[in-house]
Amino acid sequence: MEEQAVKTKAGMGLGIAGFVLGLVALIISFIPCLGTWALIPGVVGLILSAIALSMATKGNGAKGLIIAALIVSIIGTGIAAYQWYFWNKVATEATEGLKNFDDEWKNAMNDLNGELENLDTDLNEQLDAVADSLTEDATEPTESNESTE
Amino acid sequence: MLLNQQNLTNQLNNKTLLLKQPYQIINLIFAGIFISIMIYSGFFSAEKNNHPIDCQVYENTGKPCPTCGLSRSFSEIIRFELDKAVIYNKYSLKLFSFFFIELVLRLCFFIILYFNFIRLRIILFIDIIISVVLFLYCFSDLIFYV
Repeated sequence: MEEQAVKTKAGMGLGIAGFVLGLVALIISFIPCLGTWALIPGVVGLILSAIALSMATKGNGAKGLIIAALIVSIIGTGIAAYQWYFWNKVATEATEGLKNFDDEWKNAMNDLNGELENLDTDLNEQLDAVADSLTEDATEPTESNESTE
Repeated sequence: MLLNQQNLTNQLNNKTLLLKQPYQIINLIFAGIFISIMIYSGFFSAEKNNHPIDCQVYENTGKPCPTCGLSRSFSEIIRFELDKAVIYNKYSLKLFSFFFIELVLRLCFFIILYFNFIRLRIILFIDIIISVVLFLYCFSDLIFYV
């Protein structure tokens, strides 16, 4: 009983490191500019806390701080992971949106070019028709003048 | 004579134990981190805009996030240019005050515990309450941003 009551310092160093890294990750994860960077200290803190917990379990060490380190690291890593996922999704959708816009723009330009070419052809045909009719009108009066003489 | 020497030795051992307590170590580490933030802000300048950390949100979306300009703001606050700091980022004063107050608290709690003015459990309780309330107040604009 006395042996169980006496706690050792097994895992305490790693527990302190895990707690510090987890808390740093938690604070940074709420800052949008740095949220994704919080994944690094969060994951490292999580690993250190897990190792510290196993060392404390085996060596009959005090687990209070280590469990607090684990909880803080999990929360910090979770928020940082959500930030990373969210901003990646936004960036992907923005890139796809730009690509779709680019394709639609090219299609629209191609259609416009086609329409302009058709318009050009029609215009040329109409101009030719008008030119032909003007030429016919110009030749007709000379023929009628010759017949009266 | 022997008793006095024993008392001195016990006091030294107690203070060494106090220094080695995890809470004291954590206090010193966080004080170091917050001092590093102040040094980082003082080293880089807002006018030269040479801060190495860029905003991931702005790089990915092209739009500024609520904390864009924070590094420059902190640099201006360190130089006591509070008007310019607010122009760079309107939340900078709140966030900087969080780090500054936490730095002061770390040092105060370290000294209080070192000289054994108050018991550890009471200090821990007060520390947790103050830190959580301060964090919720200073980060309230950012917590639900995403």
